[in-house]
Amino acid sequence: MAKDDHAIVVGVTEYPGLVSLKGPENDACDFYDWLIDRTGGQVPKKHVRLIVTSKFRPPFASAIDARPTSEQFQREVERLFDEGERRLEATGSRRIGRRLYLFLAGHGCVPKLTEEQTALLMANATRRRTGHHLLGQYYGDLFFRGGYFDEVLLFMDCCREPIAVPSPSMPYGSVDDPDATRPEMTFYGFGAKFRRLSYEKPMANGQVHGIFTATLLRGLRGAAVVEGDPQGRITAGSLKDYLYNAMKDLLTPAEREDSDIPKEPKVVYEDAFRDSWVIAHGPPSPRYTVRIHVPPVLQGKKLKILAGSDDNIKVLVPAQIVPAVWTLQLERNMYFVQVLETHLLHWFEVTGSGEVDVVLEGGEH
Amino acid sequence: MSAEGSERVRLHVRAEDPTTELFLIDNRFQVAARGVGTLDEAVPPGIYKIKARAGPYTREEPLLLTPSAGSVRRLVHTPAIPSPVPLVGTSKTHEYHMEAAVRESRRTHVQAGSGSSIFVFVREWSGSESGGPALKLHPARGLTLRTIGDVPLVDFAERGRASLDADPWAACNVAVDPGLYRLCLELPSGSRIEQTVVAVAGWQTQIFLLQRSYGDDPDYRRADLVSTSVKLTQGGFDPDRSERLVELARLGLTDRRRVLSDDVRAMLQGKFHDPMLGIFGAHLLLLDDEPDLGLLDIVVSNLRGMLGPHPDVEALALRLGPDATSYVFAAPPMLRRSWLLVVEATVRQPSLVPPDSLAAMKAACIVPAAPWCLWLTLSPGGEEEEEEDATLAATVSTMLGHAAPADLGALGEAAESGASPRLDDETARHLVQTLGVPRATIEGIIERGLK
Repeated sequence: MAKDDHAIVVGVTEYPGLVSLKGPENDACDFYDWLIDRTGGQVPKKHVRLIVTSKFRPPFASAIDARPTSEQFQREVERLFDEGERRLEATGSRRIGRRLYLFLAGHGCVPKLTEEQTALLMANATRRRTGHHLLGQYYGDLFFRGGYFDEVLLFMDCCREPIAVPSPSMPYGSVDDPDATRPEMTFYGFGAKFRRLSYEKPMANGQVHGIFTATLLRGLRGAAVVEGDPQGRITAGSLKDYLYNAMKDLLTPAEREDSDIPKEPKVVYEDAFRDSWVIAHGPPSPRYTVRIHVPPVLQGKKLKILAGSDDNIKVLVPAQIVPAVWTLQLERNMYFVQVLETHLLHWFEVTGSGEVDVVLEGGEH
Repeated sequence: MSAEGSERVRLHVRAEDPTTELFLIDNRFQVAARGVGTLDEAVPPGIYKIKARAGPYTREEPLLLTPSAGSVRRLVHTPAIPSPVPLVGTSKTHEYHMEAAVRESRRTHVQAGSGSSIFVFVREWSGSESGGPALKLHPARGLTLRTIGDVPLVDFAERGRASLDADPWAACNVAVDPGLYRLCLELPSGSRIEQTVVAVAGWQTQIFLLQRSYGDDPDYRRADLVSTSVKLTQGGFDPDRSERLVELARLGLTDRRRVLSDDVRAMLQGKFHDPMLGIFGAHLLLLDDEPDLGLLDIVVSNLRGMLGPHPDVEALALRLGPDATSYVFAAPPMLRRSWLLVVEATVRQPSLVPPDSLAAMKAACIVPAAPWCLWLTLSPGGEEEEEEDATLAATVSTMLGHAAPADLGALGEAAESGASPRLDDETARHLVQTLGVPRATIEGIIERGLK
């Protein structure tokens, strides 16, 4: 299915004219790894272009020397445009393949002049040279509306604060799609809502990552599988739901209280394809380790676990006396631990972001 | 999800504030129902969570709906919102800030006119339990009130009352003639951020500001104009919790959320005691796919009755038809969404913004930080300001070349013959919508370029 998929992946870390970042190249490389993974995106390696800072031998003496710039990205864009034109001449259609992935990570903004666009600032951008940027939706729309690909997935892990950008960088005229009535199969995901900042932090592996990309990749690797789907499908809808619910799981309680740190992404796609558009596959019904910490006051008492099920509630684990740390393997779902004697109910959720620790309180509820 | 059935549970959720967005999320993490202010839905028994959102702030509460529940009612607390207004029920508030705002808003510190007043309250919030920030800076440094023609009236760092104890605050109530003024903040870089302030006969315009850093130096803290709160009252400041509704409406508009609940719509039908709620509410109404223009007409009529001619109200009236207002927007309105309505209307009515007016001259410098219409002047009168104009001119030229190359020839001929070049409406609309500046500004640039 993915043999004619293509991708352009960009991660900009070094900005001599701005504050440099730590996560975007890690994010781009992780996304690249997923794309070419036979159990992941399954995109042929030769169809994936990876444009990251380390390929240009940083550090750079000044912004004017810094790479990558728009030029490196546009070279890959034009390569695909040329391929489309060749196909148009040969077959009457510009169609290159099923799907194009665009992944852009680095500093970003919403340009003053085009508030509907999100821009990735390139390495040569400075506070005064914000014109050095890539407009994500613009490129996504060009490839989709021009009929080059049936589907376009755009992911941008960057800030979306409106700032003054002197001129929107739209170097290409749009071309007519020969089949203008085809369904709008575009899935655009952003690391923050309009006017908000994105966020990067060290993850369990010691590397710094954007929390949007980290959540996205967990979702694509299986955490966003449709609940109970034996085929392990990750649909547009299940991926969106996962992103909206799980991004906050990577934050500490203090970070969750910080209004500048995003807890939800922004995802835009046509809702009609919510269940029918399969983005990827993962292991069906993955399970996650849940440790329930039982305080001394409740030890020796019977506990049971309730879980949400289709249109009802089910007793997942019948009442029993449990150890001080009760370890279970549970699917993505919402649960209640019920202490029979005290009627205490303690809610927790398994979003698929990883292991979960549940600390019960001793009082009555 | 609204079908009735014997096995369903009737769920009634009410938020503490009517502009709070509510989402019912099921155990598959899908949104099962949503509402603004209230959520009323028949849903299957199960485990859910209710997410409440106010602007960018959210909180979640679990919900267990058993098959025997029948009907469940739940009151959901709105997330604590930080506000520049020291209100009860918001975060970033000290009691001594509330007391100072209540007290000083009822005094007159500067007599610069009569019939109206402008009250400015600016304060620091360090989050510290005691002592406030290590560096005690006057929070109103660089903040001035000027006439709309840029004549200085009040330097807020020198007039009014201030306290540098704990988290510092500064307050100044200026008696003024009704009309338009500029609130101006000079930044450490020498650039200026400005916005229009409207003083209405018989009303006090209250402006509340927190601080933000404009650079890495601790000395670079100044008033945060982007997150300003503005209230209109007739009796001094009231920190009552109910006043949060205006703040929530402002947050909703800032984030372009559709947060107009039935309760607030009903409120807009009648009288609202802070006209800013009417102005915010009318803009939120216009976020709907098919705005209720009948309700907009009522709101505009009510606001006119309360305030008389006000640029933000007249900007809203533009959505009621080209003849709905005769107001000329020589200065930008207070809200950026009002400004966008004005700019859009100039396609058909270029005279709404006169070519040599403040509004036309600052159109390219409007900061896109909703909701206020702020303009940035880089080193006033200097080369950077000219560079800003040159950048806009270059963008117009590029876009015109792409969008309507044939027009360039016709415009050139018009200029050579001495006539003022006029764009056709379609090209003008494209440029106005893309660049966000009035038609007169664009045609002025073209005229100067062709000559």
